[in-house]
Amino acid sequence: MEPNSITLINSHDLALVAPAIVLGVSALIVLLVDLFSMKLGRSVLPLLTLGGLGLALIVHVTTGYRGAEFEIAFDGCLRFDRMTYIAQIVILSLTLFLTLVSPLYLIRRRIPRGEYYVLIMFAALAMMVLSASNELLTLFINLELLSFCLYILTGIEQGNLRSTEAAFKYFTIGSYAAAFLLFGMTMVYGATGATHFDEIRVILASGSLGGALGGNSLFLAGGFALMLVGFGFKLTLAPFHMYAPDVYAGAPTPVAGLIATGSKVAAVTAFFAIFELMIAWGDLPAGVYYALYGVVVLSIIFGNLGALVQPNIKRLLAYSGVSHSGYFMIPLLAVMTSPELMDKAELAVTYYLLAYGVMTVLAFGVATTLGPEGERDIDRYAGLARRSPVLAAAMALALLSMTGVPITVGFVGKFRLFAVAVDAGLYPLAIFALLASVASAYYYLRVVVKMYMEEPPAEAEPIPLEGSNALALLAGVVCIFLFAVLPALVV
Amino acid sequence: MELLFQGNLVLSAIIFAIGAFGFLWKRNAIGIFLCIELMLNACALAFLTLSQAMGRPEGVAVFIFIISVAAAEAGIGLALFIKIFNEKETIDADSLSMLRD
Repeated sequence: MEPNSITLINSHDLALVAPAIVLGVSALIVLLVDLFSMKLGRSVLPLLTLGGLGLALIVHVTTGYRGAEFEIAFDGCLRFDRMTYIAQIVILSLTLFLTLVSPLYLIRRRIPRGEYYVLIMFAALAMMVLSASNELLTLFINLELLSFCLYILTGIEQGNLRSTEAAFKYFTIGSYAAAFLLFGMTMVYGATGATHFDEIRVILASGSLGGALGGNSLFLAGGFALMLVGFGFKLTLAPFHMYAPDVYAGAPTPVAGLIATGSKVAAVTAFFAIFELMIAWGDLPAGVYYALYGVVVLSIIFGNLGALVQPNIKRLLAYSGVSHSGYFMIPLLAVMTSPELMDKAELAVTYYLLAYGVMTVLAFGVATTLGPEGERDIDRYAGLARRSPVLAAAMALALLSMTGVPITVGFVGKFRLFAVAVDAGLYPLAIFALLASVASAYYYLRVVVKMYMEEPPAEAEPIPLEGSNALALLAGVVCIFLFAVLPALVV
Repeated sequence: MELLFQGNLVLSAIIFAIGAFGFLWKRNAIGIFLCIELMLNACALAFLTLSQAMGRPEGVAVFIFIISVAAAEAGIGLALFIKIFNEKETIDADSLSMLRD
């Protein structure tokens, strides 16, 4: 890989990013249609968005990565392997799902529709490229593009103070985290003299750091630590998770769903690439391992404790997301102790990307469909099974899957994550995670019990279900079972 | 040359630290935002310095992109602060406390 050589853009590279190009072009079309259409024409926007996302998904599945070990594009700036391929399918499907459930929600809350759909598509584009990025600058730019879209989407609601406050918190803390990430990148660049991951990996493996700061390995370790902090904010790992519940609670529900699932899936994939660099460095200080260990334990503890007492459904899902981020990192710890488990860990994380994405987005999909009722107190879910059996069943299934009940994706996913830890001999960690996940049943099942065992409020009426929402929820429910019964369909 | 190199890196670390601690200290939204800009620009300075010291071009490219990212961030941030001011008549961060456990 010669980064300084000038390569013409070739068809091989373009084919690999074709889905992202389709997304970008259709986002611009939506922007133009919104600009030139009168009020009536706005109802066509969701259809255009669905068309763009669907086309991108078809293009991705038909032309993308072909099962080789990995493929490199654009002079090594992008790298497509199995994990990226599946993460991109998950990202496109999640965005498609949220687009299907949100039209009615947007009208009820008077959210400007044109801007909403355009930003959703640009966010999906950024996530796609972020999950494939293989170079420091590419990673940073796409992370920022994704974050900017999400900041605006969080505060998109006019005259809603909660939405504005959530946007303010997300913007300031997200930018703060991005600055730490960037400073970490500076130090890695200074120590190795390269920004391409492939090059950095070779330099680290060779043992002699070539950069201007290469003489002192403290700079490299500090760089990786700062990048861990930056990603910790993005992945809502404790102790950097404090903003997540507030942001999820204030943001419009489908946007909260996108922040919780899509952006986390993309960030985990990008972080895994950084992690591979750390592993390549033979002299990685033990401190990094203990720091990550502490972050995992804290995330699982804080996530579960926070969710235990939470009366608000979106905050509960935020805290549960914190603990799931902790589970995501368990195979990484296993690889740090026994590097030969790399393949198995990669498979486990890839599978959990899909499992986590499906079950979390399904829960947010139900909350979106319920509208204003579904996004506040869990008490509002009392007797939901009487009012809308479909919604109650979908929510119950999502929550049971998060608990890890057998024959759901959540069970298979957690099983694979913990199995890697057991293989590496990390028994205390595996047992701790298992116990935490048993304890989590308390707060997930609390909602299920409310929906099925309690009486609905006296004035409550049955809840009608729109066709597109029903379709999306059905697809989510099918995925929860399908990928649990046939994990071989994924990885 | 060596002195300039080290001086620049130390300066960038100091600017970054001022931004990082200022962020925690400031209560006004504009102040918070300026601290974030300081941090980004400290990184830009470090990238330029390192790029020159090592004779490699990537740092300059990163520098240009940091400037444009900071500009885009300023656009979003200021629009958001105007929205906050319209709804609350103040941009003090402590006044935003509706969302909490």
